[in-house]
Amino acid sequence: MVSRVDWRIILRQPAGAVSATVIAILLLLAIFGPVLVPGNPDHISGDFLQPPFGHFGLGTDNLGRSVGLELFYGLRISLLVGLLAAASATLLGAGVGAIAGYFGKSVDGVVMRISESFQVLPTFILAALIVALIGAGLDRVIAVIALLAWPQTARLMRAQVLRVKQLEFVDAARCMGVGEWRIMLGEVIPNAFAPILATATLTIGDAILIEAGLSFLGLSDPTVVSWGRMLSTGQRYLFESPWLSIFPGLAIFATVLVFTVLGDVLNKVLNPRSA
Amino acid sequence: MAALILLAVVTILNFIITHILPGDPVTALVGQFPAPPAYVALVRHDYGLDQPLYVQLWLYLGNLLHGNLGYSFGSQRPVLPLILQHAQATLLLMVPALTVASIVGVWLGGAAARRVGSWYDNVLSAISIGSYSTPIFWLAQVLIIVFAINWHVLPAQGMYTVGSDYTGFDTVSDYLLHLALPGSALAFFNIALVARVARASMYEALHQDYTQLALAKGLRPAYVFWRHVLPNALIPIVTIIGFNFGSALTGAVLTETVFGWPGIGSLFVASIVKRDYPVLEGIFLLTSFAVLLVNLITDLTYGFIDPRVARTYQGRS
Repeated sequence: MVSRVDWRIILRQPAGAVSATVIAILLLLAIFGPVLVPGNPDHISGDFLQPPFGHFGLGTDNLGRSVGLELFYGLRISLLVGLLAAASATLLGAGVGAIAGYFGKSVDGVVMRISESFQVLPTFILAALIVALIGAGLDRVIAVIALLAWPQTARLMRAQVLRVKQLEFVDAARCMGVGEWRIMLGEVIPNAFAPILATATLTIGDAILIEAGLSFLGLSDPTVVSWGRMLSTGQRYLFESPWLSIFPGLAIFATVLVFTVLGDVLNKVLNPRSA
Repeated sequence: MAALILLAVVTILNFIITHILPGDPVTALVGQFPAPPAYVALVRHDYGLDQPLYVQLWLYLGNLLHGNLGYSFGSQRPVLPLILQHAQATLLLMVPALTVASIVGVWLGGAAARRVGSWYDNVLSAISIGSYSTPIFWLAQVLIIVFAINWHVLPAQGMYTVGSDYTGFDTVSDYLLHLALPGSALAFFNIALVARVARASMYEALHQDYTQLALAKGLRPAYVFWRHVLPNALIPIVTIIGFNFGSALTGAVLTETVFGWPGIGSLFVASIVKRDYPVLEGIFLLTSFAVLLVNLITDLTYGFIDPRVARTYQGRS
């Protein structure tokens, strides 16, 4: 029974080691960013649309803001949204999936049908609609992403719980007179949780992409720097200043990629049947 | 049955969004300037917003059944025809892209299944993982920068040349030229997806006893592929194409934004800017119905692909 993740197995694989290292570096950069590179990404200079690799690092945008600085501070936002949204989606999904799997019957049927619907529907359109209605604060964007990203975790958790709840130690706990909820929370969920980590890692990448998409459509907090908003600016200057699009896109791609690769490695190790 | 539950989920979600979330239509209709409370009450009454929630749900369902999705705040036109008018352009983008993607994806996946572990297989897996991490609207921008701005070989915006008076074949080739970039962006993601599933399911079919027997009998590999491998590997492939239609629609919406393709995506973004809630809600509702329909069709194709599925259904009724 793999109830704890053996990180050595993951770090021994080149893909796992590289992606985990890059993620650690990105996290450190995000946390200590303002100390390492002090500056205000919203600072407006007189030099508009300056090309990169000259005096201006990665160039400047239409308001004369430094693209490099914006990218650096955008990382904090992307990671914040990605981690918080994925954590909330995982908690929600794991809870719903565990209840569905453990108590079964009609609860299970209803929950699984609803989660199926969420997986099939154009959820990004729904997310954009909800954010347009309730306003584009970071907290709201995180909540909306979490509300739409839980089904995958729920389905996996349900399958895991269905398997674990038939094992002997669960029967043993029941014979000792432990209540059903305590068995679920204390025995079943901890032993079913490991593969969820893989899905959670993939969800971080998804969440970063959804956030970027929402801010690309203009549905982001205008007071925060975000890579999606930079791409939305870049869209207006594709012809004269393509670097306004190239760099933020590369940043999104690279960040999501390391989480996808790590999630993929975790999936192969923790969830051998699906690979 | 699954389709009915999906229908219920969609309708209820949309009702919650329109009636319970903030963004009161009255504020939007009356506007920002101070209006006499009596007038606000009158508007609320006209729209049935002073009724209890269950009466509102009933009215809402009645309106839906009559195809009444409300009126656009911006243009005061009924929402349904407005969206349907843009749906044509979206279909002209999605249908060719998804068709090409399905064929190419099956082809690439099949090739990988025959040489699992080879460099070709590894490159395909890497591209597939890379495609999960690429924002589609960024890929679209890069395509414009490379092909339209640097090389001047393909048009960057729109669905046809503005102000052109092409007829017949010229119209078609003009449309195909404009389709090339947005179509490729949309197809890229679906190729990766289909190829991944096709690789797995064809790998399985290739290693079944009946395939090995057919090859051992000395049948030509091409014949074995078309007759034994593909039909048996097709159900997971069709499933993923149908299952993924919702995200393909999302992809189309974002792609249209970048290319100024005059479809539902462009309408969606214009409506976000104008905060035209009835249009946004109508788009969610109609795209969800489209997804529902595609999933229903996917379920029905199972019967054609695999006669055993059709027989189980007949046995049940």
